Amino acid sequence: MTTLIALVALAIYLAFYFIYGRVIRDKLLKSKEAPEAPSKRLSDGVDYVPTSKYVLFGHHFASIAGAGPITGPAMAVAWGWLPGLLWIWLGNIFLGAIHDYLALAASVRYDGRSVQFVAQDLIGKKAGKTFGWFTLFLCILVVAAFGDIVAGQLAADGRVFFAFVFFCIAAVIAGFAMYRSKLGLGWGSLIGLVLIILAFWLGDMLPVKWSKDTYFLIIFVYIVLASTLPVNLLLQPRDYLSSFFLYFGLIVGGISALISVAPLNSIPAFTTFSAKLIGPAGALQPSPFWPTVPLIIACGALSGFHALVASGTSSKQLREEKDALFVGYGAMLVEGFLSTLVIIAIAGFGAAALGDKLMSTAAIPRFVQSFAQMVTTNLPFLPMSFMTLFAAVWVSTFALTTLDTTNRLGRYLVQEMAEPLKEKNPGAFKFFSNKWVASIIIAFVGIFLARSGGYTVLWPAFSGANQLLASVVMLTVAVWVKKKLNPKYVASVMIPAVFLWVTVTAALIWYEIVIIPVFFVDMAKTLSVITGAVVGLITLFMLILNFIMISSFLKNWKVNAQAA
Amino acid sequence: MPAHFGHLLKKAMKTFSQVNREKATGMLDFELKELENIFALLILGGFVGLPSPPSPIAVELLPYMEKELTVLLARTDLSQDPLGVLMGMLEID
Amino acid sequence: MHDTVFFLGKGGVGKTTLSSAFALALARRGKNVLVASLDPAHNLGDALETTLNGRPKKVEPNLDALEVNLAEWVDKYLEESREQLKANYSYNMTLNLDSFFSILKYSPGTEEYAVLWAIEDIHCRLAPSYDFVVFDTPPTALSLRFLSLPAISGLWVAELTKLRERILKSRQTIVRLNPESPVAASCVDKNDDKVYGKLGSIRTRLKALDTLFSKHSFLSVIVNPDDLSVFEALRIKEELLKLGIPLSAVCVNKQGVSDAEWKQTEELSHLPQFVFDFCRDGIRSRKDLETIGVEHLLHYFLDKQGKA
Repeated sequence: MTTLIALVALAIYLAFYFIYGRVIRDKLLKSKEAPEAPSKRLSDGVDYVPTSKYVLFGHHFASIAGAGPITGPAMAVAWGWLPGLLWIWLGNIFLGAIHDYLALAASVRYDGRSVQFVAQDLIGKKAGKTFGWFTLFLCILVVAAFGDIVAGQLAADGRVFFAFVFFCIAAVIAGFAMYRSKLGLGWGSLIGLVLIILAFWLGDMLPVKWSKDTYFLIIFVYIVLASTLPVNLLLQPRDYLSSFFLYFGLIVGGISALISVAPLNSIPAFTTFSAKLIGPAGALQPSPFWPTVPLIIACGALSGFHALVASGTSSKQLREEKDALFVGYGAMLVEGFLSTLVIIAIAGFGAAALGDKLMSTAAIPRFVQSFAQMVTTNLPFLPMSFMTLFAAVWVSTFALTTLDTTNRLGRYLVQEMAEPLKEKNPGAFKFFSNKWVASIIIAFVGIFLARSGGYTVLWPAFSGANQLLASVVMLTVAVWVKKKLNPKYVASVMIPAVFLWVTVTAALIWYEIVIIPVFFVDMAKTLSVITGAVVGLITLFMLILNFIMISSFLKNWKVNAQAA
Repeated sequence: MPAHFGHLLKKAMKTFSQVNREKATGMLDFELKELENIFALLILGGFVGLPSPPSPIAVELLPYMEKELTVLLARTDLSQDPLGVLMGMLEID
Repeated sequence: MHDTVFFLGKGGVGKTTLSSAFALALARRGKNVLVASLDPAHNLGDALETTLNGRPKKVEPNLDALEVNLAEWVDKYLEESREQLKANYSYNMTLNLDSFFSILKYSPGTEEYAVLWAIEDIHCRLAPSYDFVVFDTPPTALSLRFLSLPAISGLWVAELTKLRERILKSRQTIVRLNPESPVAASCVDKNDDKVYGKLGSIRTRLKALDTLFSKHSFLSVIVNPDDLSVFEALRIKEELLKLGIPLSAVCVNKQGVSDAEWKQTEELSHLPQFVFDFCRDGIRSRKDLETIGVEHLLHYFLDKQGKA
């Protein structure tokens, strides 16, 4: 059965890639007649460098793959394995991959400018500003969500802490080997791999038993410190080495899923429409699949982040516009396949791994155990204890890297968003532009929320912000198709865009009126009240910005209709 | 057929290796461009009112700074719209 | 060996007069002397009753004189750079260079650099043919600027050199790991990097001048028996102290120009003092220059040469 699902996933993705993707490329974008790509036209040997689509694909995929495509689906199985799977398949091919593809293409047509710039040009300054704010909130919420997730994983498996610490040391040493000494990439990678295995072994030897609170503190300190280190010391080499985790995980996971024939009976195909999924820990609320599915499954199906990544360096390096199909649409489909593997692992092997506790385990440990079980059952030479440690370190590494880099990005964003203060309140502006202040604010707010909220309520907030960002991108792309491309095909973008916007807005409104009040049920619990207030305000602010942006969009849309 | 497959495999390995090379140097590359940008600004900034070494030194170095000028211009462009590049480089997702 | 002499001081205190009188007396003692004026006002020729230009002119058997033409030096300096730019840049970047260079003439820093290179030229090319070179300096502001240039520019160049090394090293690391990187085109060894080489040669030149000013020069500040010139002299002393350039003597010129009581200020008193009387009839010819008694200064100066 798992094999079947895996093959169906591959079939659907490949079919849509070759059929639907090509239609978009040839009829909507008309890439074959498009102007020369900016990488060639504006080639400067600095940022605009034509690059092979295979290399770009690898680079782009590695940039968008993280802990996101794993977390969402791992949570979504509460609805049963089928609904989540359908969203990962259909949402991806009609929304997510299209979103990534067209954002990349639009950026290419705009000389490599970011999708924020494109939105500003087509919809208005307000749309551009919303990008900045959404991304800033995303940074805080991702620290909150991942912070809790990692703390939970570390507390669940005491071996992970030292395995990760030694992995960082391994990265630093490999970094020295590659960057400071004359050893090349090959030797550096080899040293890195050997040290990684050593790190795993040492982690296994030195399990710790610390409370989740201790881990929160450690993570807080880690975020603030790690984001101040020079990039070539830890971040660059670790980023490089962690991509090996991704390759290994994808390969063994993919092979295991394909060769196993286990039935998917660890969880029912469909439990209930409103499973108890979202809410503060201990007070999960019934969450209707529609509209709340985008609050759970983000990156495997659709992610606003990807548009920014695509319109960053990828668009400046695309050799020809028609490569965008492979890089943009293709990479997202592969990510969808990764998410499919997550569901297969949990649905097929979750019971074998965790028995009755399957649904009561936290999302990531649920994935870790199920994934390990799937691999070890089908590839017996990889023992369970190793695979669980591997999977846990894999997810934790990606999450912790995100925590570190988000903090760095946050410093820039806080300053950008505080810009209007420069005239009105120079003292405040100076305060916010201080990099330590920005760093600590994001880390502190994030970890505080993580501790008192928990990922079951913070991941949906993060996901909602992410999906809102994606819907701004989709609407931008719709305007772009209408104004600059071929109005005949607008429907193919407009319908998914409208559907997405309605769904996400409804989901966030639902979140605001159903989930947030739960925090205020017992006014005596101050921590709970504060958390509710902060998250509620952030969500409210995002909703307001969302409506401001949509009014800008509608005004713009109407103007164009009159002009046409 | 085997020859074709071998050729394909070699190409795949080469691509894989290139992807890794780029991954291993991506952030260093970004940092290098910033250093070059700063270097150019330090020397040539005097011509636009920034503190800088005496202009004669700048003039003496100017003939050799073609690459740095290109980076300076590219970076000026980027500084207006950096969000995308930063997101990609920083591996947020 | 303090074979280079600078006379500094406020405008009007008698720099040209004393420097030419000193040079004359030194030459008549049998030493080969070059007296050079850096002052754009070009009074040296008047004092020696002859017309001077940028090339040494024999004024007496042992005395040559010249007046540095700053404008010419600026042009010469910019011309070199213009040629270098044309040679190195791609064609389409040279189109607008000419107008750019004419603006540079007035850019802050160009004038004092011109003085510096003029001094360097005299020191390297001409000085070996003489026993001593005596400089009549321009007004204090410009003098202090060119005297401080080697030290200040030296700092800039040192920092730029460090940054350049870091850039080159980073390029090499990236190319070593990723040979296909676009950075490869500009990845060169330290010794082949033109910018690094240029920074090095600038550094060498500045260091030589710094040594000239701080170790091989006899600097004398001239004051008149009034407060203004003394204040200026104090300022000069302070600035030079910060640069590590020691003053060698104080010349009190125009003693007796007024009947007012005047005493040398405390901060200058510890330096060797040399007094010159006011000449009521003025200094209008070379003969008049001879009447200024410079023996005490000359004696002290030559004595110091002997000891060094």
